[in-house]
Amino acid sequence: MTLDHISYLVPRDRSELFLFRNTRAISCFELVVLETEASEEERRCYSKGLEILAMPIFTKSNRAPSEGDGVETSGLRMECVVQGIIQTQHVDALEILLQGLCGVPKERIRVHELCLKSGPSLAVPSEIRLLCDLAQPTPSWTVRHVGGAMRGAGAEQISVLVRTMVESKVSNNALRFFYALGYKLDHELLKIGFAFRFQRGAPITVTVTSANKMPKLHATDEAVPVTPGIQMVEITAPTAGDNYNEVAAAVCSFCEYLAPLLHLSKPGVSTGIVPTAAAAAASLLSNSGDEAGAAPHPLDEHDTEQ
Amino acid sequence: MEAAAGTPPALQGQHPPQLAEAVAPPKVERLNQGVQQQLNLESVKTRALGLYKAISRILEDFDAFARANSTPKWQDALGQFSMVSMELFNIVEDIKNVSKAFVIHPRNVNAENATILPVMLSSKLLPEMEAEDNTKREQLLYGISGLPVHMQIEKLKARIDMIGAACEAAEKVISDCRKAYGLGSRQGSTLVPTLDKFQVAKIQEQENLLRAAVNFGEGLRIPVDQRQLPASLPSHLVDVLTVGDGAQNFGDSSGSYTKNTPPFSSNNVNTQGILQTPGGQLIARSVPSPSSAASFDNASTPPLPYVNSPRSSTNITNTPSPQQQVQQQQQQQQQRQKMMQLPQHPQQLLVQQQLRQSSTTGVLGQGTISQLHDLPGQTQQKFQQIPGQHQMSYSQPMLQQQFQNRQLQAAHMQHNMTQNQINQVNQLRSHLNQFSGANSALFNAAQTSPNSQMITNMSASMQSQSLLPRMQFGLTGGHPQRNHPSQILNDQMFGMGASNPASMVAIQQQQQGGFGNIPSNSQNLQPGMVNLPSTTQNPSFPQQRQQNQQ
Repeated sequence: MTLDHISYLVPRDRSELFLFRNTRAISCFELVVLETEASEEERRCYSKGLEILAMPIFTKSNRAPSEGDGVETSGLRMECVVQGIIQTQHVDALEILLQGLCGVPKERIRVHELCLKSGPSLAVPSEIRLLCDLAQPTPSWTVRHVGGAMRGAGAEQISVLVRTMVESKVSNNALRFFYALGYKLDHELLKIGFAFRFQRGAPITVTVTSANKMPKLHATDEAVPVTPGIQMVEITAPTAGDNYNEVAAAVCSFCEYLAPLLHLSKPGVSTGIVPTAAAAAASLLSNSGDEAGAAPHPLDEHDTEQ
Repeated sequence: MEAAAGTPPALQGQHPPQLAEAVAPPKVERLNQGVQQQLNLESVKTRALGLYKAISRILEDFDAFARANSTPKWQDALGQFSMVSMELFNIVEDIKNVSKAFVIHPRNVNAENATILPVMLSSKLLPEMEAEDNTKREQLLYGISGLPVHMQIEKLKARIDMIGAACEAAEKVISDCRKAYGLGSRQGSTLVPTLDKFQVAKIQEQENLLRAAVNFGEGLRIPVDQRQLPASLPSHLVDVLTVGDGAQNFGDSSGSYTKNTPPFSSNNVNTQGILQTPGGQLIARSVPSPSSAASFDNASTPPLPYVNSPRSSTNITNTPSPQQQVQQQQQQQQQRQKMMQLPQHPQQLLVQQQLRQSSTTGVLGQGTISQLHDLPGQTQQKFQQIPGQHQMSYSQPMLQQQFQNRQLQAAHMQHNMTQNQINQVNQLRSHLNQFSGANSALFNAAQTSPNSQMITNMSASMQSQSLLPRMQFGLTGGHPQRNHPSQILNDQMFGMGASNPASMVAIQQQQQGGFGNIPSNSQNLQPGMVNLPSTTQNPSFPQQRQQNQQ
């Protein structure tokens, strides 16, 4: 390993020089604090020491794929993700459907998401998100770096988006830490909803949230929905670099179950709402299950003029 | 019993004469000769009966135990159970090979459904249903039941065709009438029934808004001029964003730092401007410290004295930097309140810049070494009052000076480098430890003992004073083998993650058994958390971690 891969993040007037690793697929949180203003000889000497220090951190992330113990980039640092929208009036029906499909209790979601973008000092711009979970009595912070999506012919054939994603729990001074590194707050979001986590071929997480914006900085109590009538449904599953096909297949097959209520697609691809959503929601919500007959059904052969 | 339920279907194949059809001429249905041989029903029956007897024997034994109120010998009982289950398994396996042709057998038979299973498996209709079936059949074959079969089939086909023709004619009539009366076609429901184009467009627009907001943050950005921290922050941000105490800064810059607003560049410029002067004064040795010190001391401590003041009580020589460092840390610990005192960075950086410049600009002769020696002392005292995380940055100028001095004196490079490494380890660990009290002991240990000994000492002291999260995980409890600085660093890195218990456990399990264990943990993780890959894996240490598995 050489130090060429590491780019300086912080401008030279800082007292500590953070060597910040910011490559494509690697977590951006491995950092080493070095002496400031090192001259060439010092840098050589320190780099020697740094190699010993940094070996366990950096080596495992970007070695050649020949290493066989499976702890490098083939670790669970990617995710398969699809997104969809659903009208707010059908969210209850979706909850019932998911409850039946997953068999686990739902978890409440109330997350304050702060999106930080790196300052101009960093050659490669990077964006991280700090998530503060407000649903628990003591807020817990998570830092999350979402990387670029997989490209290529293989990526276009699968219907989920596979992208690098690294998450980690952090202490609550993470925000100040990133401010100290030069990151600036780009936008913030409050997500309120629920989630189901279960195992179906892969560990899948389905979250249904309404995205709320805050009119004033950090005013989570005054959040209003960005789109009151529509909520976002997101299905994610962590994956490694080598088994994403199976995980994508598992996610796809699960999405089939949700077809009556919503369509799911790669983030950025819009889907519209599903015409059968109203009927499906009505049938899920009703006890008799036959009130859907009132709504026009495309498969209904009887005369239904409305 | 389990076996008994499986055998009746098989036994039926052997007694066909009793199942003769009522309608068709009596024809004995026999199994294929080969299948019959393969199945060897006799032996299956014997085995099943033997199994039945064994199970009933076991039950009787248990019954006797229950009545006598004595505990059975569990080992024997388990042995018998295993024998019984193996026997059952073998029987089922044998049957399974041939039974695909004609038999279904229940897989999950337990006490609840054992009795109802034969009823569920039988294909004979209920009596009422059977009667109904018969009457319908009679009606159908009313006129033609006496004819041979192929003629019956033909007649039935003719009937079906007639009915089909009638349906088509009726449909045609209906559609003609619809057209005639303008009622529209029957297939109109393929369109979205309740949404017209306007609504579809509106929903599309909303969807784009939502997706852009969630994925890219469009529409959520507050203009920079409106970004002021509100008076009352939500509770989870209160202690994150405010810098309350410990304002031991430069006079002017303290205000700009306590606000901690996102755009920082302006603050940097301020402090840089302020910092130039004290740093500039530092080079010239004759400039007294108090004048510059006064500008950034807080009111509680007196101005920094001269180099020789009794307050510092340090020797201004090359070697006793450890003592200097210890002094610094002790004083710092008394004063520090909070971590991450941002204002410290620019101060020290510039001072150190000046230091380095002074040391490198033609200070190579022996005569100037004393000056170099004094500079560390000056900077050290200057920063005695400033609390916080910067033990490492204090020590770094010392190390630098020492390093350069040693270079000048052609000392052992190797020792320097390892010293630097170890010092870096120290520094990094101290940094990551969030400046707990462990640092002083570490530095003491590090500086006063040789390398290998130092490392083991460090590990020992690390264990005793490790971070709370680490103690929770019990990762370092009684671990004498952690003498690799990288591993200590790794632990610290994970400890820095500030209570990452699930990921630690996941990592340990990952080391043990691969990914098979991870999914079972995924339900226990807190929301928002993902199983992290292990990034620490020094392959020689998995065993140690296993020992410490919770």
